[in-house]
Amino acid sequence: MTIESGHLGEELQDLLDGRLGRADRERAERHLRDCTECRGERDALSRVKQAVRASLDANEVPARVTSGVAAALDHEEREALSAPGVRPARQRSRFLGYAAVAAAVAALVLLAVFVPGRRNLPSRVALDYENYKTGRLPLQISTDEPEELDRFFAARGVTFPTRVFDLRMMRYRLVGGRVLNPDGRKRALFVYVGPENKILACEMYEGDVRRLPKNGLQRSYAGITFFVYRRGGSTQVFWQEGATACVLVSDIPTEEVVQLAFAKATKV
Amino acid sequence: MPTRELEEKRRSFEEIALPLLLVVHRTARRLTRDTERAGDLTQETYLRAYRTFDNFRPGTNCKAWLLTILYSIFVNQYRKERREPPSIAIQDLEERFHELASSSDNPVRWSDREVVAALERLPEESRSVVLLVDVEELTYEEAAAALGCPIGTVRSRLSRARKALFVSLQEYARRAGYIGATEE
Repeated sequence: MTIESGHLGEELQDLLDGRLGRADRERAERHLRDCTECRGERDALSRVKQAVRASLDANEVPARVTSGVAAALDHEEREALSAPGVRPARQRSRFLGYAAVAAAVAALVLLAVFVPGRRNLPSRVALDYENYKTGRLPLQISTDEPEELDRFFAARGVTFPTRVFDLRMMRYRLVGGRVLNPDGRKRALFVYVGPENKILACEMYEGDVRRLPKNGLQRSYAGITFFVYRRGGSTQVFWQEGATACVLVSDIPTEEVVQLAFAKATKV
Repeated sequence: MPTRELEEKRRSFEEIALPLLLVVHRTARRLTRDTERAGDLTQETYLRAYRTFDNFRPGTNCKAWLLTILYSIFVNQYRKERREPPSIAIQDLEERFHELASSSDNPVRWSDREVVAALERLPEESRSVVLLVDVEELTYEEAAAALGCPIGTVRSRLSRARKALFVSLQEYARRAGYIGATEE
């Protein structure tokens, strides 16, 4: 207690921030019971502390920043991988390593550009997305209610759990869905519309993402592995949810699709 | 470093540091008071954190570690680029605080917008300590390490900053007619 004034003075702050020992705290609390002036100051400081915290709680990180950070880390990792001291997992000359990477990239480009009809799953998902965008694959139900869409899928014979999510927190609004059944194995498709009317689609199917083509980029987040592909002008991000495989597809920047997949996969 | 170790480093970094992106960005946003620069500062913070991730000791406070990096970049690269706009200069702060805190005004809820505006009008050295201690809940010791100043300085800056915020917010509420209307 400050001797001159008989009030707690700066000790109020230590009390508020839990920095007083037990004896000092009890003495300060006894003083507060009898001193309206110190109580008023304690309440004022406490209000400020709570208000500042609350005012900044709800802020969100812009997608631009999220993708910028991910891209910077990707770049840093690539730089580290190509540094002279880095030993590839399998010992081979760096030249051969680069040649192999260059050949793989060239093969991917060829695959994407010249063989669009090839029906591996990332390409098929890209085609579904393109067909939806161009009106060739209409929705069977229009709704912004995830539960209604889950019920619709169940009623249409989808046996795996679809877990349609509300992505409004990420600024994507659910617009509806349909069942895809081109080869007897049902897939659930649902579509969201985001900022600037960008379209994001999700497909779910019973399957194992480890059986996807090996040329996808692997990313890891919260213990989940994501497989990222670029096919037909869109990005496809796959991950596993129990026995169900999920994929998000969109023509927004790749990193934004990845971040949306992270959000969707970890949403409880 | 072998490829596998690099992959492990990235996985570990994404698990420990990336969930704090919101914290880093909101602190950057309020320090720089500029959306564009906040994005750049956030990105640079994460990049430097990733490069020096081997220095991070698992089990210690990752938030404090990231904010220390952020503040160091801010001080060296951002603060000197821009002159501070006029900030809250409260004459006789102590006296004014005592007066307002002991007045019989009914407490009104300050709007988040006004709280943020008042925070941004604080001088940078006061604003940073409020952000670290009151918003991000760092201890005085962690805040002192992040800001590169003694603990006593954290304590005194925080005291002055909270009082300045209270005076600013109460005076705004009075001017806006939210409190004190019965006296008119």
